[in-house]
Amino acid sequence: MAKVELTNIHKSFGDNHILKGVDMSIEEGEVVVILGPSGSGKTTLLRTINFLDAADEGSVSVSGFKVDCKKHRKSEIIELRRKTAMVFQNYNLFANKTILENVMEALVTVKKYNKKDAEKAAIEILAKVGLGEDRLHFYPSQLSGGQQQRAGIARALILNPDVILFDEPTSALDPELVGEVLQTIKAVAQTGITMIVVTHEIAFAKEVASRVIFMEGGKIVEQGPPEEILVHPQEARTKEFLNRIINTNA
Amino acid sequence: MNLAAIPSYFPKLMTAFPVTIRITVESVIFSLLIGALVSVGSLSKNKAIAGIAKGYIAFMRGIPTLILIFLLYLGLPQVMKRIGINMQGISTITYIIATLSLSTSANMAEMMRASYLAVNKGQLEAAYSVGMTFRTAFRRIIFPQAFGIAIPTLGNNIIMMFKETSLAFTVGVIDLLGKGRAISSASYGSNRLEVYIACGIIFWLCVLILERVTKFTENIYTRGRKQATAK
Repeated sequence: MAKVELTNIHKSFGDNHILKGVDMSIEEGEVVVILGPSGSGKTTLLRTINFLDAADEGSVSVSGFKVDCKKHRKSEIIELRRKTAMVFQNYNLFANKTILENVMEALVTVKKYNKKDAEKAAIEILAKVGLGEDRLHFYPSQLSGGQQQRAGIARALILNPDVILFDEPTSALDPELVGEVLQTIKAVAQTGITMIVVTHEIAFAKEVASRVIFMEGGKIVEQGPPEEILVHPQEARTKEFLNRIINTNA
Repeated sequence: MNLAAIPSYFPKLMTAFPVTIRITVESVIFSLLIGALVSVGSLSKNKAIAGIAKGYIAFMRGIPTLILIFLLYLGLPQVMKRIGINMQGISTITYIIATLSLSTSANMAEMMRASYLAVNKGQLEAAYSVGMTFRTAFRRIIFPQAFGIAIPTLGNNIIMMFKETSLAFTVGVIDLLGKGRAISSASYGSNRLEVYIACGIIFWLCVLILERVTKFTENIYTRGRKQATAK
Protein backbone atom coordinates (compact mmCIF):
# COMPACT_ATOMS: atom_id res chain seq x y z
CA MET A 1 0.00 0.00 0.00
CA ALA A 2 1.26 3.42 -0.88
CA LYS A 3 2.35 5.55 2.07
CA VAL A 4 1.10 8.77 0.47
CA GLU A 5 -1.45 8.83 -2.29
CA LEU A 6 -2.71 11.97 -3.99
CA THR A 7 -5.50 11.69 -6.53
CA ASN A 8 -6.53 14.38 -8.99
CA ILE A 9 -5.52 17.35 -6.81
CA HIS A 10 -6.86 20.70 -8.00
CA LYS A 11 -6.24 23.97 -6.23
CA SER A 12 -6.99 27.58 -7.13
CA PHE A 13 -6.31 30.82 -5.32
CA GLY A 14 -9.00 33.09 -6.68
CA ASP A 15 -8.71 32.98 -10.47
CA ASN A 16 -5.25 31.52 -10.28
CA HIS A 17 -5.41 27.81 -11.04
CA ILE A 18 -2.26 26.51 -9.30
CA LEU A 19 -2.68 22.74 -9.32
CA LYS A 20 -4.35 21.15 -12.33
CA GLY A 21 -4.97 17.55 -11.45
CA VAL A 22 -1.93 16.04 -9.78
CA ASP A 23 -1.68 12.31 -9.05
CA MET A 24 1.13 11.01 -6.92
CA SER A 25 1.80 7.73 -5.20
CA ILE A 26 4.68 7.34 -2.79
CA GLU A 27 5.83 4.08 -1.25
CA GLU A 28 7.18 3.59 2.24
CA GLY A 29 10.81 4.69 2.59
CA GLU A 30 10.92 6.69 -0.61
CA VAL A 31 12.70 10.03 -0.68
CA VAL A 32 10.89 12.06 -3.29
CA VAL A 33 12.35 15.37 -4.43
CA ILE A 34 10.02 17.75 -6.23
CA LEU A 35 11.71 20.20 -8.59
CA GLY A 36 10.24 22.91 -10.74
CA PRO A 37 10.34 26.62 -11.54
CA SER A 38 8.75 29.04 -9.10
CA GLY A 39 5.03 29.21 -9.57
CA SER A 40 4.87 25.62 -10.72
CA GLY A 41 2.80 24.67 -7.67
CA LYS A 42 5.29 22.43 -5.89
CA THR A 43 5.02 24.13 -2.50
CA THR A 44 1.25 24.29 -2.81
CA LEU A 45 1.17 20.59 -3.62
CA LEU A 46 3.16 19.86 -0.48
CA ARG A 47 0.81 22.01 1.58
CA THR A 48 -2.28 20.22 0.29
CA ILE A 49 -0.94 16.98 1.76
CA ASN A 50 -1.35 18.22 5.34
CA PHE A 51 -4.19 20.59 4.47
CA LEU A 52 -2.34 23.81 5.30
CA ASP A 53 -3.90 24.62 1.94
CA ALA A 54 -6.95 22.45 1.40
CA ALA A 55 -7.25 21.32 -2.21
CA ASP A 56 -10.49 22.14 -4.00
CA GLU A 57 -10.81 18.72 -5.53
CA GLY A 58 -9.24 15.28 -5.25
CA SER A 59 -8.22 13.17 -2.30
CA VAL A 60 -5.25 12.77 0.00
CA SER A 61 -4.37 9.53 1.68
CA VAL A 62 -1.60 8.90 4.19
CA SER A 63 -0.98 5.36 5.46
CA GLY A 64 -4.38 4.33 4.20
CA PHE A 65 -6.24 7.17 5.92
CA LYS A 66 -8.07 8.88 3.09
CA VAL A 67 -9.56 12.35 3.13
CA ASP A 68 -11.76 13.75 0.40
CA CYS A 69 -10.64 17.33 -0.28
CA LYS A 70 -14.11 18.54 -1.21
CA LYS A 71 -15.84 17.47 1.97
CA HIS A 72 -13.60 17.00 4.94
CA ARG A 73 -14.25 17.30 8.62
CA LYS A 74 -11.93 19.13 11.02
CA SER A 75 -11.30 15.93 12.92
CA GLU A 76 -10.15 14.19 9.72
CA ILE A 77 -7.67 16.97 8.98
CA ILE A 78 -6.26 16.76 12.48
CA GLU A 79 -5.87 13.00 12.21
CA LEU A 80 -4.16 13.39 8.83
CA ARG A 81 -1.82 16.03 10.23
CA ARG A 82 -0.89 13.71 13.08
CA LYS A 83 0.44 11.23 10.54
CA THR A 84 2.63 13.85 8.89
CA ALA A 85 5.14 16.51 9.92
CA MET A 86 6.53 19.48 8.08
CA VAL A 87 9.79 21.41 7.91
CA PHE A 88 9.29 24.99 6.77
CA GLN A 89 11.29 27.35 4.64
CA ASN A 90 11.30 29.97 7.40
CA TYR A 91 11.69 27.38 10.19
CA ASN A 92 8.55 28.69 11.95
CA LEU A 93 9.82 27.76 15.38
CA PHE A 94 7.67 28.86 18.30
CA ALA A 95 9.29 32.14 19.31
CA ASN A 96 8.04 32.01 22.90
CA LYS A 97 9.63 28.65 23.57
CA THR A 98 13.19 27.41 23.89
CA ILE A 99 14.61 24.94 21.40
CA LEU A 100 13.97 22.12 23.86
CA GLU A 101 10.39 23.27 24.45
CA ASN A 102 9.82 23.62 20.71
CA VAL A 103 10.69 20.00 20.18
CA MET A 104 8.78 18.78 23.25
CA GLU A 105 5.66 20.81 22.58
CA ALA A 106 3.72 18.42 20.37
CA LEU A 107 4.72 15.38 22.40
CA VAL A 108 3.17 16.99 25.47
CA THR A 109 0.11 18.66 23.95
CA VAL A 110 -0.72 16.27 21.13
CA LYS A 111 0.68 12.91 22.15
CA LYS A 112 0.09 13.48 25.87
CA TYR A 113 3.52 12.37 27.03
CA ASN A 114 4.47 13.39 30.53
CA LYS A 115 7.03 16.17 30.60
CA LYS A 116 9.96 14.09 31.76
CA ASP A 117 9.64 11.52 28.98
CA ALA A 118 9.09 14.24 26.40
CA GLU A 119 12.17 16.10 27.58
CA LYS A 120 14.29 12.96 27.42
CA ALA A 121 13.11 12.17 23.90
CA ALA A 122 13.64 15.77 22.78
CA ILE A 123 17.20 15.91 24.10
CA GLU A 124 17.96 12.67 22.28
CA ILE A 125 16.54 13.89 18.96
CA LEU A 126 18.24 17.27 19.26
CA ALA A 127 21.58 15.55 19.76
CA LYS A 128 20.94 13.63 16.55
CA VAL A 129 20.55 16.86 14.56
CA GLY A 130 23.69 18.24 16.17
CA LEU A 131 22.17 20.53 18.80
CA GLY A 132 23.87 19.68 22.06
CA GLU A 133 23.07 20.42 25.71
CA ASP A 134 24.57 23.89 25.44
CA ARG A 135 21.86 24.98 23.00
CA LEU A 136 18.76 23.46 24.62
CA HIS A 137 17.66 26.54 26.52
CA PHE A 138 18.24 29.06 23.76
CA TYR A 139 15.31 30.80 22.13
CA PRO A 140 15.03 30.52 18.34
CA SER A 141 16.01 34.16 17.83
CA GLN A 142 19.35 33.46 19.50
CA LEU A 143 20.36 30.79 17.03
CA SER A 144 21.67 30.84 13.48
CA GLY A 145 19.35 29.94 10.63
CA GLY A 146 21.05 26.58 10.26
CA GLN A 147 20.59 25.76 13.94
CA GLN A 148 16.97 26.89 13.80
CA GLN A 149 16.27 24.70 10.81
CA ARG A 150 17.91 21.71 12.46
CA ALA A 151 15.66 22.31 15.47
CA GLY A 152 12.75 22.45 13.02
CA ILE A 153 13.78 19.07 11.68
CA ALA A 154 14.00 17.70 15.23
CA ARG A 155 10.49 19.03 15.94
CA ALA A 156 9.21 17.08 12.95
CA LEU A 157 11.21 13.92 13.67
CA ILE A 158 10.17 13.52 17.27
CA LEU A 159 6.59 12.79 16.24
CA ASN A 160 7.74 9.73 14.38
CA PRO A 161 5.51 10.68 11.46
CA ASP A 162 4.64 8.42 8.55
CA VAL A 163 5.96 11.07 6.17
CA ILE A 164 7.95 14.29 6.59
CA LEU A 165 7.25 17.16 4.22
CA PHE A 166 10.18 19.52 3.55
CA ASP A 167 9.18 22.86 2.07
CA GLU A 168 12.34 24.42 0.57
CA PRO A 169 14.24 23.79 3.81
CA THR A 170 17.41 25.58 2.73
CA SER A 171 16.04 28.47 0.66
CA ALA A 172 16.10 31.01 3.49
CA LEU A 173 19.56 30.09 4.72
CA ASP A 174 22.84 31.90 4.24
CA PRO A 175 24.86 29.96 1.66
CA GLU A 176 27.47 28.80 4.17
CA LEU A 177 24.74 27.26 6.36
CA VAL A 178 23.06 25.24 3.61
CA GLY A 179 25.53 22.37 3.89
CA GLU A 180 24.91 21.55 7.55
CA VAL A 181 21.15 21.44 7.02
CA LEU A 182 21.42 19.27 3.91
CA GLN A 183 23.70 16.93 5.86
CA THR A 184 21.04 16.65 8.56
CA ILE A 185 18.31 15.95 6.01
CA LYS A 186 20.49 13.35 4.37
CA ALA A 187 21.01 11.63 7.71
CA VAL A 188 17.24 11.62 8.23
CA ALA A 189 16.74 10.09 4.79
CA GLN A 190 19.11 7.27 5.67
CA THR A 191 16.87 6.22 8.57
CA GLY A 192 14.35 5.02 6.02
CA ILE A 193 11.58 7.45 6.83
CA THR A 194 9.34 8.49 3.93
CA MET A 195 10.14 12.02 2.79
CA ILE A 196 8.88 14.52 0.25
CA VAL A 197 11.28 17.38 -0.35
CA VAL A 198 10.63 20.53 -2.34
CA THR A 199 14.00 22.09 -3.10
CA HIS A 200 16.22 23.79 -5.66
CA GLU A 201 19.31 21.83 -4.61
CA ILE A 202 19.98 19.67 -7.64
CA ALA A 203 23.11 18.11 -6.22
CA PHE A 204 21.22 17.12 -3.11
CA ALA A 205 18.45 15.59 -5.23
CA LYS A 206 20.99 13.59 -7.19
CA GLU A 207 22.58 12.20 -4.06
CA VAL A 208 19.63 11.58 -1.76
CA ALA A 209 16.46 11.20 -3.81
CA SER A 210 15.05 7.82 -4.72
CA ARG A 211 12.74 9.57 -7.15
CA VAL A 212 12.65 13.04 -8.70
CA ILE A 213 9.42 14.69 -9.79
CA PHE A 214 9.57 17.63 -12.15
CA MET A 215 6.55 19.94 -12.03
CA GLU A 216 5.55 22.84 -14.19
CA GLY A 217 2.30 24.75 -14.63
CA GLY A 218 0.50 22.84 -11.90
CA LYS A 219 1.17 19.42 -13.36
CA ILE A 220 3.75 16.69 -13.08
CA VAL A 221 5.79 16.82 -16.28
CA GLU A 222 8.15 13.95 -15.67
CA GLN A 223 9.30 11.65 -12.90
CA GLY A 224 11.77 8.88 -12.30
CA PRO A 225 15.07 7.99 -10.64
CA PRO A 226 17.40 11.00 -10.23
CA GLU A 227 20.01 9.77 -12.70
CA GLU A 228 17.29 9.54 -15.35
CA ILE A 229 15.52 12.85 -14.72
CA LEU A 230 18.54 14.93 -13.85
CA VAL A 231 20.99 13.51 -16.38
CA HIS A 232 18.84 12.32 -19.25
CA PRO A 233 15.51 14.10 -19.05
CA GLN A 234 13.02 13.17 -21.77
CA GLU A 235 10.86 16.28 -21.72
CA ALA A 236 12.00 19.51 -23.32
CA ARG A 237 10.69 21.56 -20.40
CA THR A 238 12.72 19.55 -17.90
CA LYS A 239 15.86 20.01 -19.99
CA GLU A 240 15.29 23.72 -20.24
CA PHE A 241 14.76 24.05 -16.49
CA LEU A 242 17.88 22.05 -15.64
CA ASN A 243 19.98 24.04 -18.09
CA ARG A 244 18.82 27.28 -16.55
CA ILE A 245 19.59 26.09 -13.02
CA ILE A 246 22.95 24.62 -13.86
CA ASN A 247 24.02 27.69 -15.83
CA THR A 248 23.10 30.09 -13.04
CA ASN A 249 24.77 27.91 -10.44
CA ALA A 250 28.00 27.58 -12.40
CA MET B 1 -5.45 81.03 45.41
CA ASN B 2 -4.41 79.20 48.54
CA LEU B 3 -1.95 76.50 47.49
CA ALA B 4 -1.20 75.56 51.07
CA ALA B 5 -4.79 74.39 51.52
CA ILE B 6 -4.59 71.81 48.73
CA PRO B 7 -3.29 68.89 50.84
CA SER B 8 -6.12 69.39 53.32
CA TYR B 9 -8.62 68.22 50.70
CA PHE B 10 -6.95 64.87 50.08
CA PRO B 11 -8.53 62.92 52.98
CA LYS B 12 -12.07 63.94 52.06
CA LEU B 13 -11.51 63.35 48.36
CA MET B 14 -10.07 59.93 49.02
CA THR B 15 -13.33 58.77 50.59
CA ALA B 16 -14.70 58.76 47.02
CA PHE B 17 -11.64 57.02 45.62
CA PRO B 18 -13.14 53.51 45.93
CA VAL B 19 -15.94 54.58 43.56
CA THR B 20 -13.40 55.67 40.92
CA ILE B 21 -11.53 52.40 41.37
CA ARG B 22 -14.72 50.37 41.09
CA ILE B 23 -15.69 52.14 37.86
CA THR B 24 -12.21 51.56 36.45
CA VAL B 25 -11.92 47.90 37.40
CA GLU B 26 -15.39 46.91 36.24
CA SER B 27 -15.07 48.88 33.00
CA VAL B 28 -11.69 47.28 32.26
CA ILE B 29 -13.16 43.81 32.75
CA PHE B 30 -16.22 44.45 30.60
CA SER B 31 -14.31 46.30 27.90
CA LEU B 32 -11.91 43.35 27.64
CA LEU B 33 -14.80 40.90 27.33
CA ILE B 34 -16.61 42.98 24.71
CA GLY B 35 -13.32 43.78 22.99
CA ALA B 36 -12.43 40.08 22.74
CA LEU B 37 -15.77 39.36 21.11
CA VAL B 38 -15.43 42.27 18.70
CA SER B 39 -11.84 41.41 17.77
CA VAL B 40 -12.86 37.83 16.97
CA GLY B 41 -15.61 39.32 14.81
CA SER B 42 -13.28 41.72 13.05
CA LEU B 43 -10.94 38.82 12.21
CA SER B 44 -13.78 36.64 10.93
CA LYS B 45 -13.73 35.37 7.37
CA ASN B 46 -17.46 36.02 7.25
CA LYS B 47 -17.65 39.45 5.64
CA ALA B 48 -20.96 40.40 7.29
CA ILE B 49 -19.63 39.65 10.77
CA ALA B 50 -16.33 41.41 10.08
CA GLY B 51 -18.26 44.41 8.72
CA ILE B 52 -20.44 44.67 11.81
CA ALA B 53 -17.40 44.44 14.09
CA LYS B 54 -15.51 47.09 12.12
CA GLY B 55 -18.56 49.35 12.06
CA TYR B 56 -18.88 48.99 15.82
CA ILE B 57 -15.21 49.92 16.28
CA ALA B 58 -15.54 52.93 13.98
CA PHE B 59 -18.63 54.17 15.82
CA MET B 60 -17.25 53.72 19.32
CA ARG B 61 -13.94 55.33 18.46
CA GLY B 62 -15.57 58.25 16.72
CA ILE B 63 -18.04 59.27 19.37
CA PRO B 64 -16.90 61.48 22.27
CA THR B 65 -17.28 59.66 25.57
CA LEU B 66 -19.32 62.44 27.11
CA ILE B 67 -21.86 62.25 24.30
CA LEU B 68 -22.05 58.49 24.69
CA ILE B 69 -22.76 58.97 28.39
CA PHE B 70 -25.66 61.27 27.56
CA LEU B 71 -26.93 58.96 24.85
CA LEU B 72 -27.09 56.07 27.29
CA TYR B 73 -28.16 58.00 30.35
CA LEU B 74 -30.79 60.20 28.72
CA GLY B 75 -31.63 58.38 25.52
CA LEU B 76 -31.69 54.70 26.39
CA PRO B 77 -34.42 54.92 29.12
CA GLN B 78 -36.69 56.70 26.64
CA VAL B 79 -36.15 54.11 23.96
CA MET B 80 -36.68 51.29 26.43
CA LYS B 81 -39.83 52.91 27.77
CA ARG B 82 -41.34 52.77 24.29
CA ILE B 83 -40.95 49.02 24.26
CA GLY B 84 -42.27 48.75 27.79
CA ILE B 85 -39.09 48.38 29.84
CA ASN B 86 -38.66 50.61 32.85
CA MET B 87 -35.03 51.54 33.52
CA GLN B 88 -35.59 53.75 36.55
CA GLY B 89 -34.05 51.25 38.97
CA ILE B 90 -30.67 51.39 37.27
CA SER B 91 -28.03 53.37 39.13
CA THR B 92 -26.04 56.15 37.50
CA ILE B 93 -22.79 54.32 38.19
CA THR B 94 -24.06 51.45 36.02
CA TYR B 95 -24.54 53.86 33.12
CA ILE B 96 -20.99 55.12 33.54
CA ILE B 97 -19.54 51.61 33.66
CA ALA B 98 -21.59 50.66 30.58
CA THR B 99 -20.42 53.74 28.69
CA LEU B 100 -16.75 53.33 29.50
CA SER B 101 -16.91 49.60 28.75
CA LEU B 102 -18.42 50.26 25.34
CA SER B 103 -16.16 53.13 24.33
CA THR B 104 -12.97 51.43 25.54
CA SER B 105 -13.98 48.06 24.09
CA ALA B 106 -13.23 49.44 20.61
CA ASN B 107 -9.64 50.24 21.60
CA MET B 108 -9.33 46.87 23.33
CA ALA B 109 -10.62 45.10 20.21
CA GLU B 110 -8.12 46.89 17.98
CA MET B 111 -5.35 46.11 20.45
CA MET B 112 -6.22 42.41 20.43
CA ARG B 113 -6.57 42.24 16.67
CA ALA B 114 -3.24 43.94 16.07
CA SER B 115 -1.45 41.79 18.65
CA TYR B 116 -2.90 38.61 17.19
CA LEU B 117 -1.84 39.58 13.69
CA ALA B 118 1.62 40.55 14.91
CA VAL B 119 2.40 36.92 15.75
CA ASN B 120 3.68 35.50 12.52
CA LYS B 121 1.23 33.18 10.84
CA GLY B 122 3.92 30.58 10.14
CA GLN B 123 3.92 29.61 13.81
CA LEU B 124 0.23 28.75 13.62
CA GLU B 125 0.93 26.65 10.53
CA ALA B 126 3.77 24.92 12.35
CA ALA B 127 1.43 24.19 15.25
CA TYR B 128 -1.10 22.74 12.83
CA SER B 129 1.60 20.71 11.11
CA VAL B 130 2.41 18.87 14.35
CA GLY B 131 -1.25 18.09 14.88
CA MET B 132 -2.40 20.81 17.27
CA THR B 133 -5.94 22.12 17.20
CA PHE B 134 -6.48 25.88 16.86
CA ARG B 135 -7.46 26.00 20.51
CA THR B 136 -4.21 24.41 21.68
CA ALA B 137 -2.12 26.48 19.29
CA PHE B 138 -3.81 29.66 20.47
CA ARG B 139 -3.38 28.85 24.13
CA ARG B 140 0.21 27.62 23.96
CA ILE B 141 1.78 29.57 21.10
CA ILE B 142 -0.22 32.55 19.85
CA PHE B 143 -1.75 34.03 22.99
CA PRO B 144 1.44 34.14 25.10
CA GLN B 145 3.19 36.10 22.35
CA ALA B 146 0.22 38.33 21.52
CA PHE B 147 -0.19 39.16 25.22
CA GLY B 148 3.41 40.32 25.49
CA ILE B 149 2.89 42.52 22.45
CA ALA B 150 -0.35 43.93 23.87
CA ILE B 151 0.90 44.91 27.34
CA PRO B 152 2.02 48.49 26.55
CA THR B 153 -1.21 49.22 24.65
CA LEU B 154 -3.28 47.60 27.36
CA GLY B 155 -1.65 49.82 29.96
CA ASN B 156 -2.29 52.86 27.82
CA ASN B 157 -5.95 51.93 27.29
CA ILE B 158 -6.46 51.45 31.03
CA ILE B 159 -4.81 54.81 31.79
CA MET B 160 -7.01 56.61 29.26
CA MET B 161 -10.10 54.97 30.64
CA PHE B 162 -9.07 55.74 34.21
CA LYS B 163 -8.91 59.42 33.34
CA GLU B 164 -12.28 59.26 31.61
CA THR B 165 -13.91 58.04 34.82
CA SER B 166 -13.76 61.71 35.78
CA LEU B 167 -16.73 62.23 33.43
CA ALA B 168 -18.91 60.30 35.88
CA PHE B 169 -19.73 63.42 37.87
CA THR B 170 -21.71 64.79 34.91
CA VAL B 171 -24.56 62.42 35.73
CA GLY B 172 -24.20 62.82 39.46
CA VAL B 173 -21.94 59.96 40.48
CA ILE B 174 -19.90 60.81 43.55
CA ASP B 175 -16.52 59.71 42.30
CA LEU B 176 -13.30 61.67 42.93
CA LEU B 177 -14.43 64.61 40.86
CA GLY B 178 -18.02 64.39 42.07
CA LYS B 179 -16.71 64.54 45.62
CA GLY B 180 -14.54 67.51 44.69
CA ARG B 181 -17.55 69.34 43.35
CA ALA B 182 -19.48 68.58 46.52
CA ILE B 183 -16.65 69.90 48.69
CA SER B 184 -16.35 73.10 46.73
CA SER B 185 -20.07 73.80 46.62
CA ALA B 186 -20.22 73.37 50.40
CA SER B 187 -18.10 76.49 50.61
CA TYR B 188 -19.95 78.19 47.77
CA GLY B 189 -17.21 77.55 45.23
CA SER B 190 -14.66 79.78 46.94
CA ASN B 191 -12.06 76.96 46.98
CA ARG B 192 -13.03 75.44 43.65
CA LEU B 193 -9.64 75.76 41.98
CA GLU B 194 -7.74 74.29 44.97
CA VAL B 195 -10.10 71.30 45.14
CA TYR B 196 -9.76 70.54 41.45
CA ILE B 197 -5.99 70.84 41.66
CA ALA B 198 -6.08 68.31 44.50
CA CYS B 199 -8.22 66.01 42.29
CA GLY B 200 -5.77 66.43 39.44
CA ILE B 201 -2.83 65.51 41.66
CA ILE B 202 -4.56 62.30 42.75
CA PHE B 203 -5.27 61.34 39.12
CA TRP B 204 -1.75 62.18 38.10
CA LEU B 205 -0.18 60.08 40.88
CA CYS B 206 -2.43 57.15 39.98
CA VAL B 207 -1.43 57.38 36.32
CA LEU B 208 2.24 57.41 37.35
CA ILE B 209 1.64 54.20 39.30
CA LEU B 210 -0.24 52.62 36.39
CA GLU B 211 2.62 53.47 34.04
CA ARG B 212 5.10 51.86 36.41
CA VAL B 213 2.93 48.76 36.75
CA THR B 214 2.69 48.48 32.95
CA LYS B 215 6.42 48.75 32.50
CA PHE B 216 7.04 46.30 35.32
CA THR B 217 4.58 43.77 33.90
CA GLU B 218 6.13 44.09 30.48
CA ASN B 219 9.61 43.51 31.88
CA ILE B 220 8.54 40.51 33.92
CA TYR B 221 6.59 39.03 31.07
CA THR B 222 9.17 39.41 28.36
CA ARG B 223 12.12 38.54 30.59
CA GLY B 224 14.00 35.59 29.21
CA ARG B 225 11.71 35.20 26.29
CA LYS B 226 13.91 36.98 23.86
CA GLN B 227 17.04 37.60 25.90
CA ALA B 228 19.82 35.15 26.50
CA THR B 229 18.90 32.43 28.94
CA ALA B 230 21.65 29.91 28.46
CA LYS B 231 21.67 27.96 31.69
